[in-house]
Amino acid sequence: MRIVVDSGLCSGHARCNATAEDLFPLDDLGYVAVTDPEVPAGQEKRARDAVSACPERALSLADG
Amino acid sequence: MTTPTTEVTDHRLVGVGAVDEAGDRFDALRALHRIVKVTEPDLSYWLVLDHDLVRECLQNPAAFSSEVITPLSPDPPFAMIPIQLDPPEHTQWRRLLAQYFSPRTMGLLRPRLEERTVELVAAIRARGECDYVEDFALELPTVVFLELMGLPIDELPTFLEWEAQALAPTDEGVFDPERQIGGIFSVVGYFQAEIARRRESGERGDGLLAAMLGWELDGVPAPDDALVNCCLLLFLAGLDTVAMSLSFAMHHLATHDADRRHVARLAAAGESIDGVVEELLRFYAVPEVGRKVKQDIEIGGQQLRAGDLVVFPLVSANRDEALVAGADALDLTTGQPAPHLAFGAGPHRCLGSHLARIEMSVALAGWHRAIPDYALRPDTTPQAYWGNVHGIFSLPLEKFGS
Ligand code: HEM
Ligand code: SF4
Repeated sequence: MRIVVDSGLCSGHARCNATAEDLFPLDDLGYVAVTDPEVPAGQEKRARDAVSACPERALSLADG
Repeated sequence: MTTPTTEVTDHRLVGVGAVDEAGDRFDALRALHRIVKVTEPDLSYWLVLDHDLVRECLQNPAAFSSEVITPLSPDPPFAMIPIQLDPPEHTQWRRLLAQYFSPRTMGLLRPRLEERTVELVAAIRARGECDYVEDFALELPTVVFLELMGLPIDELPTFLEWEAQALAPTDEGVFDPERQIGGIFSVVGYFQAEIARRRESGERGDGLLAAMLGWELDGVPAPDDALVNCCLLLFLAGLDTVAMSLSFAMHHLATHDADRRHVARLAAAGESIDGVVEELLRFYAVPEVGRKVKQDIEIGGQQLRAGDLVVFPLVSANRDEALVAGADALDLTTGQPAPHLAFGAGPHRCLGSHLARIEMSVALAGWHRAIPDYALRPDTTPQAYWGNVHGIFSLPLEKFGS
Protein backbone atom coordinates (compact mmCIF):
# COMPACT_ATOMS: atom_id res chain seq x y z
CA MET A 1 0.00 0.00 0.00
CA ARG A 2 1.29 3.41 -1.06
CA ILE A 3 0.33 6.96 -0.01
CA VAL A 4 -0.50 9.32 -2.87
CA VAL A 5 -0.55 13.08 -2.15
CA ASP A 6 -2.21 15.61 -4.44
CA SER A 7 0.00 18.49 -3.32
CA GLY A 8 -2.10 20.95 -5.33
CA LEU A 9 -5.00 20.22 -2.98
CA CYS A 10 -3.10 20.01 0.33
CA SER A 11 -3.73 23.24 2.23
CA GLY A 12 -2.07 22.29 5.49
CA HIS A 13 -4.96 21.24 7.74
CA ALA A 14 -2.51 18.70 9.19
CA ARG A 15 -5.31 16.28 10.09
CA CYS A 16 -3.42 13.42 8.46
CA ASN A 17 -0.48 14.23 10.72
CA ALA A 18 -2.75 14.42 13.78
CA THR A 19 -4.00 10.92 12.96
CA ALA A 20 -0.75 9.17 12.03
CA GLU A 21 2.20 11.45 12.68
CA ASP A 22 4.89 8.99 11.59
CA LEU A 23 3.30 8.23 8.21
CA PHE A 24 2.42 11.85 7.40
CA PRO A 25 5.25 14.16 8.47
CA LEU A 26 4.82 17.90 7.85
CA ASP A 27 7.20 20.42 6.34
CA ASP A 28 8.20 23.60 8.21
CA LEU A 29 5.11 25.40 6.97
CA GLY A 30 2.79 22.65 8.22
CA TYR A 31 1.93 21.04 4.87
CA VAL A 32 2.19 17.29 4.40
CA ALA A 33 5.63 16.12 3.19
CA VAL A 34 5.50 12.35 2.91
CA THR A 35 9.06 11.07 2.76
CA ASP A 36 8.30 7.37 2.45
CA PRO A 37 5.01 6.68 0.65
CA GLU A 38 5.24 2.93 1.38
CA VAL A 39 2.84 2.00 4.23
CA PRO A 40 4.58 -0.51 6.54
CA ALA A 41 2.80 -3.82 7.09
CA GLY A 42 0.33 -3.58 9.93
CA GLN A 43 -0.12 0.19 9.54
CA GLU A 44 -2.83 0.01 6.86
CA LYS A 45 -5.71 1.01 9.13
CA ARG A 46 -3.86 4.05 10.48
CA ALA A 47 -3.01 5.10 6.93
CA ARG A 48 -6.65 4.72 5.87
CA ASP A 49 -7.89 6.73 8.87
CA ALA A 50 -5.38 9.49 8.15
CA VAL A 51 -6.38 9.62 4.48
CA SER A 52 -10.05 9.95 5.36
CA ALA A 53 -9.26 12.68 7.91
CA CYS A 54 -8.17 15.09 5.16
CA PRO A 55 -10.82 17.80 4.64
CA GLU A 56 -9.42 18.63 1.20
CA ARG A 57 -9.49 14.99 -0.04
CA ALA A 58 -5.87 15.52 -1.01
CA LEU A 59 -4.78 12.01 0.00
CA SER A 60 -5.39 8.56 -1.39
CA LEU A 61 -3.95 5.07 -1.18
CA ALA A 62 -2.75 2.97 -4.10
CA ASP A 63 -2.02 -0.75 -4.25
CA GLY A 64 1.52 -2.03 -4.47
CA MET B 1 -27.54 20.92 -17.37
CA THR B 2 -28.85 23.85 -15.39
CA THR B 3 -32.14 23.79 -13.55
CA PRO B 4 -34.40 26.84 -13.37
CA THR B 5 -33.28 29.23 -10.65
CA THR B 6 -35.46 29.27 -7.59
CA GLU B 7 -35.11 32.28 -5.38
CA VAL B 8 -35.38 32.50 -1.64
CA THR B 9 -36.47 35.88 -0.34
CA ASP B 10 -37.00 35.22 3.36
CA HIS B 11 -33.39 34.36 4.27
CA ARG B 12 -31.30 37.00 6.06
CA LEU B 13 -27.51 37.06 6.31
CA VAL B 14 -27.64 39.07 9.53
CA GLY B 15 -30.06 38.35 12.34
CA VAL B 16 -30.77 37.46 15.93
CA GLY B 17 -32.58 34.46 17.38
CA ALA B 18 -32.40 31.27 19.41
CA VAL B 19 -29.00 29.56 19.69
CA ASP B 20 -29.98 26.69 17.37
CA GLU B 21 -31.95 28.75 14.89
CA ALA B 22 -29.32 29.46 12.23
CA GLY B 23 -28.08 25.86 12.09
CA ASP B 24 -31.65 24.53 11.88
CA ARG B 25 -32.56 27.00 9.14
CA PHE B 26 -29.61 25.87 7.00
CA ASP B 27 -30.60 22.22 7.56
CA ALA B 28 -34.08 23.02 6.24
CA LEU B 29 -32.70 24.93 3.24
CA ARG B 30 -30.17 22.18 2.45
CA ALA B 31 -32.98 19.61 2.38
CA LEU B 32 -34.40 21.58 -0.59
CA HIS B 33 -31.34 22.98 -2.36
CA ARG B 34 -27.63 22.31 -2.84
CA ILE B 35 -27.22 25.92 -3.91
CA VAL B 36 -29.87 28.63 -3.96
CA LYS B 37 -30.16 32.28 -4.95
CA VAL B 38 -31.09 34.60 -2.08
CA THR B 39 -32.58 38.03 -2.59
CA GLU B 40 -32.86 40.35 0.38
CA PRO B 41 -34.15 43.93 0.19
CA ASP B 42 -30.59 45.28 -0.17
CA LEU B 43 -28.51 42.21 -1.03
CA SER B 44 -28.37 39.38 -3.47
CA TYR B 45 -26.11 36.33 -3.35
CA TRP B 46 -25.91 32.59 -3.89
CA LEU B 47 -25.99 30.38 -0.83
CA VAL B 48 -24.02 27.14 -1.21
CA LEU B 49 -25.33 24.54 1.24
CA ASP B 50 -23.92 21.21 0.05
CA HIS B 51 -20.66 19.88 1.53
CA ASP B 52 -19.00 18.82 -1.74
CA LEU B 53 -19.94 22.04 -3.51
CA VAL B 54 -18.57 24.17 -0.66
CA ARG B 55 -15.26 22.33 -0.73
CA GLU B 56 -14.94 22.40 -4.52
CA CYS B 57 -15.72 26.12 -4.78
CA LEU B 58 -13.31 27.08 -1.99
CA GLN B 59 -10.63 25.00 -3.71
CA ASN B 60 -11.13 26.99 -6.91
CA PRO B 61 -9.86 30.54 -6.30
CA ALA B 62 -9.60 31.22 -10.05
CA ALA B 63 -13.39 31.11 -10.33
CA PHE B 64 -14.22 32.19 -6.75
CA SER B 65 -12.19 35.25 -5.81
CA SER B 66 -11.61 36.47 -2.26
CA GLU B 67 -11.76 40.07 -3.43
CA VAL B 68 -15.21 40.13 -1.78
CA ILE B 69 -15.53 37.99 1.35
CA THR B 70 -18.99 39.13 2.40
CA PRO B 71 -21.98 40.57 0.55
CA LEU B 72 -22.18 43.03 3.46
CA SER B 73 -19.11 44.75 1.93
CA PRO B 74 -19.48 44.30 -1.85
CA ASP B 75 -16.94 47.04 -2.74
CA PRO B 76 -14.22 46.82 -0.11
CA PRO B 77 -12.11 50.01 0.16
CA PHE B 78 -8.90 47.96 0.40
CA ALA B 79 -7.87 44.30 0.39
CA MET B 80 -7.08 42.77 3.77
CA ILE B 81 -3.90 40.70 3.80
CA PRO B 82 -3.95 37.74 3.23
CA ILE B 83 -7.68 36.97 3.36
CA GLN B 84 -8.74 39.14 0.39
CA LEU B 85 -5.80 38.34 -1.89
CA ASP B 86 -6.01 35.72 -4.62
CA PRO B 87 -3.10 33.55 -5.72
CA PRO B 88 -0.34 34.22 -6.70
CA GLU B 89 -0.20 37.36 -4.51
CA HIS B 90 -1.85 35.43 -1.68
CA THR B 91 0.71 32.62 -1.91
CA GLN B 92 3.63 34.96 -1.15
CA TRP B 93 2.07 36.22 2.08
CA ARG B 94 0.90 32.81 3.09
CA ARG B 95 4.44 31.48 2.74
CA LEU B 96 5.75 34.24 5.01
CA LEU B 97 3.06 33.66 7.63
CA ALA B 98 2.76 29.88 7.63
CA GLN B 99 5.81 28.90 9.66
CA TYR B 100 4.64 31.13 12.53
CA PHE B 101 1.30 29.27 12.62
CA SER B 102 2.46 25.69 12.05
CA PRO B 103 1.32 22.97 14.48
CA ARG B 104 4.82 22.84 15.96
CA THR B 105 5.16 26.61 16.53
CA MET B 106 1.64 26.85 17.96
CA GLY B 107 2.35 24.01 20.37
CA LEU B 108 4.89 26.28 22.06
CA LEU B 109 2.04 28.55 23.20
CA ARG B 110 0.28 25.72 25.05
CA PRO B 111 1.92 26.13 28.50
CA ARG B 112 1.11 29.86 28.60
CA LEU B 113 -2.46 29.12 27.56
CA GLU B 114 -2.85 26.47 30.22
CA GLU B 115 -1.54 28.84 32.86
CA ARG B 116 -3.95 31.62 31.87
CA THR B 117 -6.87 29.17 31.67
CA VAL B 118 -6.20 27.92 35.21
CA GLU B 119 -6.13 31.52 36.50
CA LEU B 120 -9.32 32.54 34.73
CA VAL B 121 -11.24 29.42 35.73
CA ALA B 122 -10.10 29.62 39.37
CA ALA B 123 -11.38 33.20 39.62
CA ILE B 124 -14.70 32.25 38.04
CA ARG B 125 -15.07 29.23 40.30
CA ALA B 126 -14.45 31.34 43.40
CA ARG B 127 -17.24 33.71 42.31
CA GLY B 128 -19.64 30.82 41.75
CA GLU B 129 -21.10 32.26 38.53
CA CYS B 130 -20.06 34.00 35.34
CA ASP B 131 -20.98 35.23 31.92
CA TYR B 132 -18.89 32.71 29.99
CA VAL B 133 -18.70 34.94 26.90
CA GLU B 134 -17.39 38.03 28.63
CA ASP B 135 -15.47 36.50 31.54
CA PHE B 136 -13.72 33.72 29.68
CA ALA B 137 -14.35 33.23 25.95
CA LEU B 138 -13.38 36.71 24.77
CA GLU B 139 -10.46 37.08 27.12
CA LEU B 140 -8.45 33.94 26.41
CA PRO B 141 -7.90 34.42 22.64
CA THR B 142 -7.03 38.08 23.20
CA VAL B 143 -4.30 37.12 25.68
CA VAL B 144 -2.99 34.63 23.12
CA PHE B 145 -3.06 37.27 20.39
CA LEU B 146 -0.95 39.69 22.44
CA GLU B 147 1.45 36.88 23.30
CA LEU B 148 1.74 35.72 19.69
CA MET B 149 2.31 39.22 18.29
CA GLY B 150 4.82 40.08 21.03
CA LEU B 151 2.79 42.87 22.66
CA PRO B 152 2.61 43.69 26.40
CA ILE B 153 -0.17 42.01 28.36
CA ASP B 154 -1.16 45.38 29.92
CA GLU B 155 -2.78 46.14 26.57
CA LEU B 156 -5.46 43.53 27.27
CA PRO B 157 -8.29 45.86 28.42
CA THR B 158 -7.66 48.21 25.48
CA PHE B 159 -7.69 45.38 22.95
CA LEU B 160 -10.85 43.88 24.47
CA GLU B 161 -12.56 47.24 24.07
CA TRP B 162 -11.48 47.60 20.41
CA GLU B 163 -12.55 44.04 19.76
CA ALA B 164 -16.03 44.74 21.14
CA GLN B 165 -16.31 47.76 18.84
CA ALA B 166 -14.93 46.12 15.73
CA LEU B 167 -16.51 42.67 15.91
CA ALA B 168 -19.51 42.47 18.21
CA PRO B 169 -23.03 43.54 17.26
CA THR B 170 -24.97 45.93 19.48
CA ASP B 171 -27.47 44.37 21.92
CA GLU B 172 -30.08 44.55 19.16
CA GLY B 173 -27.88 42.41 16.92
CA VAL B 174 -27.04 45.18 14.45
CA PHE B 175 -23.53 45.76 13.20
CA ASP B 176 -23.11 49.51 13.49
CA PRO B 177 -20.58 50.49 10.78
CA GLU B 178 -19.47 53.64 12.57
CA ARG B 179 -18.68 51.79 15.77
CA GLN B 180 -16.90 49.03 13.82
CA ILE B 181 -14.79 51.48 11.83
CA GLY B 182 -13.92 53.29 15.07
CA GLY B 183 -12.60 50.03 16.54
CA ILE B 184 -10.69 49.19 13.37
CA PHE B 185 -9.08 52.65 13.19
CA SER B 186 -7.93 52.27 16.79
CA VAL B 187 -6.25 48.95 16.01
CA VAL B 188 -4.66 50.35 12.85
CA GLY B 189 -3.41 53.40 14.74
CA TYR B 190 -1.93 51.20 17.44
CA PHE B 191 -0.01 49.01 15.00
CA GLN B 192 1.19 52.00 12.97
CA ALA B 193 2.62 53.56 16.13
CA GLU B 194 4.09 50.28 17.40
CA ILE B 195 5.81 49.49 14.09
CA ALA B 196 7.17 53.07 13.84
CA ARG B 197 8.42 52.86 17.42
CA ARG B 198 10.22 49.58 16.78
CA ARG B 199 11.74 50.86 13.53
CA GLU B 200 12.99 54.07 15.17
CA SER B 201 14.44 52.39 18.23
CA GLY B 202 16.23 49.92 15.96
CA GLU B 203 15.06 47.09 18.22
CA ARG B 204 12.59 44.79 16.56
CA GLY B 205 11.27 43.53 19.89
CA ASP B 206 9.38 40.26 20.37
CA GLY B 207 6.91 37.98 18.70
CA LEU B 208 5.50 37.73 15.22
CA LEU B 209 5.63 41.51 14.85
CA ALA B 210 9.42 41.39 15.22
CA ALA B 211 9.64 38.83 12.42
CA MET B 212 7.30 40.82 10.20
CA LEU B 213 9.63 43.83 10.32
CA GLY B 214 12.17 41.77 8.38
CA TRP B 215 9.79 40.39 5.73
CA GLU B 216 10.49 40.84 2.03
CA LEU B 217 8.26 40.45 -1.03
CA ASP B 218 10.14 39.79 -4.28
CA GLY B 219 13.35 40.85 -2.58
CA VAL B 220 11.94 44.22 -1.44
CA PRO B 221 11.07 44.94 2.21
CA ALA B 222 7.32 44.64 2.80
CA PRO B 223 5.91 48.18 3.17
CA ASP B 224 4.78 49.12 6.66
CA ASP B 225 1.21 49.82 5.59
CA ALA B 226 0.95 46.24 4.30
CA LEU B 227 2.29 44.96 7.64
CA VAL B 228 -0.27 47.07 9.53
CA ASN B 229 -2.98 45.69 7.26
CA CYS B 230 -1.88 42.12 8.00
CA CYS B 231 -1.77 42.78 11.77
CA LEU B 232 -5.32 44.11 11.57
CA LEU B 233 -6.50 40.97 9.80
CA LEU B 234 -4.84 38.73 12.40
CA PHE B 235 -6.70 40.73 15.05
CA LEU B 236 -10.03 40.39 13.22
CA ALA B 237 -9.62 36.70 12.36
CA GLY B 238 -8.49 35.11 15.60
CA LEU B 239 -10.57 36.63 18.39
CA ASP B 240 -14.35 36.33 18.02
CA THR B 241 -14.03 33.13 15.96
CA VAL B 242 -12.41 31.35 18.90
CA ALA B 243 -14.56 33.12 21.49
CA MET B 244 -17.78 32.18 19.74
CA SER B 245 -16.77 28.61 18.92
CA LEU B 246 -16.07 28.20 22.63
CA SER B 247 -19.37 29.85 23.58
CA PHE B 248 -21.46 27.59 21.32
CA ALA B 249 -19.55 24.60 22.70
CA MET B 250 -20.20 25.57 26.31
CA HIS B 251 -23.85 26.35 25.59
CA HIS B 252 -24.20 22.85 24.20
CA LEU B 253 -22.46 21.23 27.16
CA ALA B 254 -24.44 23.29 29.70
CA THR B 255 -27.68 22.07 28.13
CA HIS B 256 -26.74 18.42 27.41
CA ASP B 257 -26.02 16.48 30.60
CA ALA B 258 -24.58 13.31 29.09
CA ASP B 259 -22.20 15.25 26.84
CA ARG B 260 -21.09 17.46 29.74
CA ARG B 261 -20.38 14.42 31.90
CA HIS B 262 -18.46 12.82 29.06
CA VAL B 263 -16.17 15.84 28.70
CA ALA B 264 -15.77 16.19 32.48
CA ARG B 265 -14.78 12.53 32.71
CA LEU B 266 -12.13 12.86 29.99
CA ALA B 267 -10.77 16.05 31.58
CA ALA B 268 -10.60 14.50 35.05
CA ALA B 269 -8.76 11.47 33.68
CA GLY B 270 -6.32 13.70 31.80
CA GLU B 271 -7.36 12.06 28.53
CA SER B 272 -7.31 13.91 25.22
CA ILE B 273 -10.43 15.87 24.36
CA ASP B 274 -9.26 16.63 20.82
CA GLY B 275 -12.02 14.46 19.33
CA VAL B 276 -14.63 16.36 21.36
CA VAL B 277 -13.22 19.66 20.10
CA GLU B 278 -13.42 18.49 16.47
CA GLU B 279 -17.04 17.42 16.82
CA LEU B 280 -18.04 20.70 18.50
CA LEU B 281 -16.18 22.71 15.84
CA ARG B 282 -17.93 20.71 13.14
CA PHE B 283 -21.44 21.03 14.49
CA TYR B 284 -21.25 24.67 15.55
CA ALA B 285 -19.01 26.05 12.78
CA VAL B 286 -19.37 29.81 13.19
CA PRO B 287 -18.07 31.39 9.94
CA GLU B 288 -19.98 32.16 6.77
CA VAL B 289 -17.30 32.60 4.14
CA GLY B 290 -17.89 34.72 1.03
CA ARG B 291 -16.50 34.96 -2.53
CA LYS B 292 -17.02 36.86 -5.77
CA VAL B 293 -17.46 34.92 -9.01
CA LYS B 294 -14.64 35.76 -11.44
CA GLN B 295 -15.77 33.79 -14.47
CA ASP B 296 -19.13 32.32 -15.47
CA ILE B 297 -19.37 28.85 -14.00
CA GLU B 298 -22.00 26.17 -13.50
CA ILE B 299 -22.28 24.83 -9.96
CA GLY B 300 -24.75 22.22 -8.74
CA GLY B 301 -26.96 22.79 -11.79
CA GLN B 302 -27.03 26.58 -11.39
CA GLN B 303 -25.42 29.08 -13.75
CA LEU B 304 -23.34 31.63 -11.84
CA ARG B 305 -22.18 34.79 -13.64
CA ALA B 306 -18.99 36.79 -13.20
CA GLY B 307 -19.65 39.43 -10.55
CA ASP B 308 -22.15 37.32 -8.56
CA LEU B 309 -21.53 37.09 -4.83
CA VAL B 310 -21.54 33.74 -3.02
CA VAL B 311 -21.88 32.78 0.64
CA PHE B 312 -20.70 29.47 2.11
CA PRO B 313 -22.24 28.83 5.54
CA LEU B 314 -19.76 26.29 6.89
CA VAL B 315 -22.24 24.96 9.42
CA SER B 316 -24.38 23.79 6.51
CA ALA B 317 -21.49 21.97 4.80
CA ASN B 318 -20.58 20.38 8.13
CA ARG B 319 -24.05 19.00 8.86
CA ASP B 320 -24.49 17.53 5.38
CA GLU B 321 -24.95 13.74 5.35
CA ALA B 322 -22.54 13.70 2.39
CA LEU B 323 -19.75 14.47 4.89
CA VAL B 324 -20.56 11.63 7.26
CA ALA B 325 -23.62 9.55 8.15
CA GLY B 326 -25.51 11.15 11.03
CA ALA B 327 -23.95 14.56 10.37
CA ASP B 328 -27.18 16.31 11.39
CA ALA B 329 -26.63 15.35 15.05
CA LEU B 330 -23.74 15.98 17.40
CA ASP B 331 -22.04 12.85 18.72
CA LEU B 332 -19.10 13.34 21.08
CA THR B 333 -18.33 9.65 21.29
CA THR B 334 -17.64 8.98 17.59
CA GLY B 335 -14.29 7.34 17.13
CA GLN B 336 -12.86 9.23 14.22
CA PRO B 337 -13.63 12.95 13.82
CA ALA B 338 -15.25 13.89 10.50
CA PRO B 339 -13.09 15.88 8.04
CA HIS B 340 -15.20 19.01 8.51
CA LEU B 341 -14.79 22.44 6.98
CA ALA B 342 -15.04 24.70 10.06
CA PHE B 343 -11.67 26.15 9.05
CA GLY B 344 -12.61 26.48 5.40
CA ALA B 345 -10.84 24.77 2.48
CA GLY B 346 -8.46 25.61 -0.31
CA PRO B 347 -5.61 28.12 -0.16
CA HIS B 348 -7.29 30.32 2.48
CA ARG B 349 -7.70 27.42 4.94
CA CYS B 350 -7.65 29.12 8.34
CA LEU B 351 -4.06 30.04 9.05
CA GLY B 352 -4.88 29.95 12.76
CA SER B 353 -6.52 26.51 12.74
CA HIS B 354 -3.74 24.81 14.70
CA LEU B 355 -3.75 27.59 17.28
CA ALA B 356 -7.55 27.60 17.48
CA ARG B 357 -7.62 23.85 18.11
CA ILE B 358 -5.13 24.18 20.96
CA GLU B 359 -7.06 27.11 22.43
CA MET B 360 -10.33 25.15 22.33
CA SER B 361 -8.80 22.04 23.78
CA VAL B 362 -6.95 23.82 26.61
CA ALA B 363 -9.98 25.99 27.41
CA LEU B 364 -12.48 23.12 27.57
CA ALA B 365 -10.18 20.72 29.41
CA GLY B 366 -9.11 23.39 31.93
CA TRP B 367 -12.68 24.45 32.61
CA HIS B 368 -14.01 20.91 33.15
CA ARG B 369 -11.12 19.91 35.38
CA ALA B 370 -11.97 22.77 37.75
CA ILE B 371 -15.73 23.05 37.14
CA PRO B 372 -17.02 19.67 35.96
CA ASP B 373 -20.66 20.56 36.59
CA TYR B 374 -22.53 23.77 35.86
CA ALA B 375 -25.85 24.98 34.47
CA LEU B 376 -27.38 27.84 32.57
CA ARG B 377 -28.91 30.45 34.85
CA PRO B 378 -32.55 29.35 34.80
CA ASP B 379 -34.19 32.73 34.20
CA THR B 380 -32.27 33.35 30.96
CA THR B 381 -32.48 32.13 27.37
CA PRO B 382 -29.22 32.90 25.57
CA GLN B 383 -29.66 34.65 22.25
CA ALA B 384 -27.48 34.15 19.20
CA TYR B 385 -26.66 36.46 16.32
CA TRP B 386 -25.43 35.63 12.87
CA GLY B 387 -23.60 37.35 10.07
CA ASN B 388 -20.05 36.70 8.85
CA VAL B 389 -19.43 34.98 12.18
CA HIS B 390 -22.20 33.49 14.33
CA GLY B 391 -22.11 34.37 18.01
CA ILE B 392 -23.88 34.31 21.36
CA PHE B 393 -24.51 37.56 23.25
CA SER B 394 -24.03 36.18 26.74
CA LEU B 395 -23.98 32.83 28.50
CA PRO B 396 -24.69 33.07 32.23
CA LEU B 397 -23.46 29.93 34.01
CA GLU B 398 -23.91 28.96 37.67
CA LYS B 399 -24.48 26.00 40.07
CA PHE B 400 -20.84 25.00 39.92
CA GLY B 401 -20.52 21.51 41.32
CA SER B 402 -17.98 18.76 41.34
C1 HEM C 1 -12.30 28.29 16.03
C2 HEM C 1 -11.74 29.38 15.59
C3 HEM C 1 -11.58 29.76 14.14
C4 HEM C 1 -12.37 29.46 13.07
C5 HEM C 1 -13.64 28.64 13.06
C6 HEM C 1 -11.73 30.06 11.91
C7 HEM C 1 -12.20 29.96 10.62
C8 HEM C 1 -11.59 30.48 9.51
C9 HEM C 1 -12.04 30.30 8.15
C10 HEM C 1 -13.27 29.51 7.73
C11 HEM C 1 -11.18 30.94 7.33
C12 HEM C 1 -11.23 30.99 5.81
C13 HEM C 1 -11.83 32.27 5.32
C14 HEM C 1 -11.97 32.30 3.82
O1 HEM C 1 -11.75 31.28 3.16
O2 HEM C 1 -12.31 33.37 3.29
C15 HEM C 1 -10.17 31.54 8.16
C16 HEM C 1 -9.12 32.30 7.69
C17 HEM C 1 -8.15 32.84 8.50
N1 HEM C 1 -8.02 32.66 9.86
FE1 HEM C 1 -9.24 31.62 11.06
N2 HEM C 1 -10.60 30.71 12.29
C18 HEM C 1 -10.45 30.55 13.65
C19 HEM C 1 -9.41 31.02 14.42
C20 HEM C 1 -8.32 31.71 13.96
C21 HEM C 1 -7.19 32.10 14.77
C22 HEM C 1 -7.00 31.80 16.25
C23 HEM C 1 -6.36 32.80 13.97
C24 HEM C 1 -5.04 33.36 14.40
C25 HEM C 1 -4.69 34.57 14.36
C26 HEM C 1 -6.94 32.83 12.65
C27 HEM C 1 -6.40 33.44 11.55
C28 HEM C 1 -6.89 33.35 10.26
C29 HEM C 1 -6.27 33.99 9.12
C30 HEM C 1 -5.02 34.83 9.12
C31 HEM C 1 -7.07 33.67 8.01
C32 HEM C 1 -6.84 34.10 6.55
C33 HEM C 1 -6.05 33.03 5.86
C34 HEM C 1 -5.85 33.30 4.40
O3 HEM C 1 -6.55 34.13 3.82
O4 HEM C 1 -4.96 32.67 3.81
N3 HEM C 1 -8.13 32.15 12.68
N4 HEM C 1 -10.44 31.23 9.48
S1 SF4 D 1 -4.91 16.67 6.08
FE1 SF4 D 1 -4.91 16.98 3.90
S2 SF4 D 1 -4.70 19.14 3.62
FE2 SF4 D 1 -4.11 18.63 5.64
S3 SF4 D 1 -1.87 18.42 5.64
FE3 SF4 D 1 -2.78 16.42 5.43
S4 SF4 D 1 -2.91 16.23 3.24
FE4 SF4 D 1 -2.63 18.35 3.58
